[in-house]
Amino acid sequence: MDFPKIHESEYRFCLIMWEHEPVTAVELVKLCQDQLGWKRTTTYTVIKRLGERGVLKNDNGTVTSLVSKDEAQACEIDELVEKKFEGSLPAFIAAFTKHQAMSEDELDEVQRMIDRIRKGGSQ
Amino acid sequence: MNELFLKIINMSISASWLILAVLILRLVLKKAPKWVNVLLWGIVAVRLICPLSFESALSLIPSSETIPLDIEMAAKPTIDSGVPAINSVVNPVLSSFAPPQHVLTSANPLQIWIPILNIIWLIGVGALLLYTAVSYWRLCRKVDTAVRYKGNIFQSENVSSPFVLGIIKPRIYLPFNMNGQDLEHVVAHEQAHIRRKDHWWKPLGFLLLTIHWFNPLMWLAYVLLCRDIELACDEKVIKELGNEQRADYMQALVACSVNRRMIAACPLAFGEVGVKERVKSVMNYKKPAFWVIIIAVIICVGVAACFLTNPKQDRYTLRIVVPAGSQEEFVYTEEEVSTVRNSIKIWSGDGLGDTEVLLFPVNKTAETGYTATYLTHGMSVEFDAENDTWFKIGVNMQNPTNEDIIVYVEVENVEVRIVDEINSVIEWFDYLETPDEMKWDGSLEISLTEFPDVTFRWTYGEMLAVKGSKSTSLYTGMPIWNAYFCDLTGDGLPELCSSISWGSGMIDNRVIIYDYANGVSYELSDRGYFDFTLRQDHQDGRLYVDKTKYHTDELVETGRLVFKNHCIQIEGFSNEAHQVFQAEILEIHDGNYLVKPVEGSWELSSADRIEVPIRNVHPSPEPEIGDVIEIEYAGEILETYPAQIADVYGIKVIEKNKGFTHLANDD
Repeated sequence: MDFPKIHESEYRFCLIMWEHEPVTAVELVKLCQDQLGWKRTTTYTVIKRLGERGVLKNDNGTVTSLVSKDEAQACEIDELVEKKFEGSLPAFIAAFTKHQAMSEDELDEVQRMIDRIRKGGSQ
Repeated sequence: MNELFLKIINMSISASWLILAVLILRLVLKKAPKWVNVLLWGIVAVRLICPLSFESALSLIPSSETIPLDIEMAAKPTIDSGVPAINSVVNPVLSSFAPPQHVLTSANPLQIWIPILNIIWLIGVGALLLYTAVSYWRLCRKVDTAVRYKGNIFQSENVSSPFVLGIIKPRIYLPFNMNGQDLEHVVAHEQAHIRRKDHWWKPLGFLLLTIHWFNPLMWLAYVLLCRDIELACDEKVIKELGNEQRADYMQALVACSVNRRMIAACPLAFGEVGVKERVKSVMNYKKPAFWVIIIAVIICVGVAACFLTNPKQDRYTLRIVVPAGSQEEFVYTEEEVSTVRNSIKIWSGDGLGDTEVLLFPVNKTAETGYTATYLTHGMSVEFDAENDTWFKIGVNMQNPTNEDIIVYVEVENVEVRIVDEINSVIEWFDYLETPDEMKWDGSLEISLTEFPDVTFRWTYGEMLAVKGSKSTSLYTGMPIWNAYFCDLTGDGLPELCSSISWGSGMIDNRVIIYDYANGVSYELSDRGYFDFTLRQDHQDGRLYVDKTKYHTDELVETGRLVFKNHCIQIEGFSNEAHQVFQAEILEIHDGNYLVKPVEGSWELSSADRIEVPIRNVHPSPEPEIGDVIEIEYAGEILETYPAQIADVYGIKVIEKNKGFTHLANDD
């Protein structure tokens, strides 16, 4: 299935939702007001819009996500790689590592991830 | 409603002069800090908002009321732009709109056009307000999901370039993809906008543009205001920055430059107008010298003084001499006044107590009669007055003392002329002064430029007008002693004035004034009681009438010959306090009108049938049976039946008989 599109400001909302889910809409309104400066109506509009796109579901005022944070992030990266690096992951990694100095621990973690993929693991 | 529209147009026109001045000053003030420019636009706004203004001699606005508010009612619509060149172009066009004279039914076409233009204006205002409301609402919708960055700064993926939105609680909106240093500069710029209250000034400017949308100069002013606001805001930010940071600031400026529509309704955007100009201005910025600021402020104060005030109206103080012993009702100014604004404003001046005042049209062609109005000290009286008509101002004052009293009236909106009637008296001959030279068997002839095809011929017994081979008798005498030409009626054509003797056995002297242009004569006589003779005064050159007791040289009264209330009168004569009544003509016979005074007149209680000699009749329209006429007489009614009036000084028709005119003619 196509992964639902999440805009930047909606992503900010999703971050709050993922952190607090399951959460009531009323509570989300309060959280969004504090952290995003949103009006009540704006929060409800966004909940409805994301519900229609299949990002979350709203059961009688309780909001739960249908898309995990990891999935959303992965999708964002896919899009980024596709758009900016012509679909080439090594080019992306090269660009990424060029500016970000990586620690030994981080390098080890990345190595372990690569090894896992080599073995045919799903993760 | 039309009045509001005309007021707005007038405000727009007077503000346009100010806008032109600001446009010029902007060129001069290139070196001055940019906030001075914004301040100048502020002065324009004050001119546009404030409906009232006081007058000052400093004012450089040519005219505070270019279009008279009652232009659609004016018989001859004219504008007063204060610039003669404009007036002379526009006014003939406007005058061509005027209905043909004497056609009462046709309306001034401006009465149709002004309401139409008014509606077009309202539609324009409504459309712009709607546009503003819709675009504001859509913008609000677009940024409602913007998330708070910190404080009043929000980010949204729907924003392409930064701006400030909101009047009461303004928020800064930024796009998401903005990195640290750019963001810092952009926020500094937008915060400076908020501190400068630009989020108020700009919508205010747009509101004024909405009202004055028909004025192209206003659109130019608004575009320039937007630029000046941005430049002034940049200035405020970079004042605090070093050279290096200025370069970064310019970088941010370029990064955010986005092509936008020029007249966007509301938001203050970072990269809105003239990026090139702004970069240049930031690069060239030097802290202005103190004296530059001082001069700029002085210029602003000067502009405010010269353009926020309205021009001082020309005010004249006119003198009125109330002669010793005067019992007249009204005494008039020597000078005559005329207006181009359809109204004349009068104040009482030195020496004048509370009294009645009136405008008296000197040429009888004036269509409106002017009724007296009470004038109180310190309060003005405004008269409707036809344009291009000359008036004398009269005040109701008697003078029981032995000395002349001098009072003053002040008058505004007028041109003043001093009438030089002396030149208009032309002496033809006067044998009263030299009776020995009387040519009993000769004749005299004279031609006047005013009557080119006529020769006036005098023989001792008759005055003739000779036109080609045809000659008309004007009047006869036994003999005709003297003749003067003088334009008494003010129609530009002189009347022929003579002293004549009349009768056999009982000979009396009379004065006759023959208005050749209108074919009507006036006569002063009181047979058997008084003699009247005409003479030209050697000192002031004017015509005077001497009234002596019959057949003696005992002078009773003397006075200047004048034309007043549609009849020839002698100024200063006691019988000048004429009575006037209105009556209906019942019959016309034997040189008399048989009349019945109208209901409610004092004369009706004295007699219900009065014989009035047909004398001193105003020529047009000619009185006919059934007409209501106004009769001016000495106040004496002889108790016969029908009653009789001896001295009639003037008769004029005030109401034509509608139903029976033709019947009477056919008889």
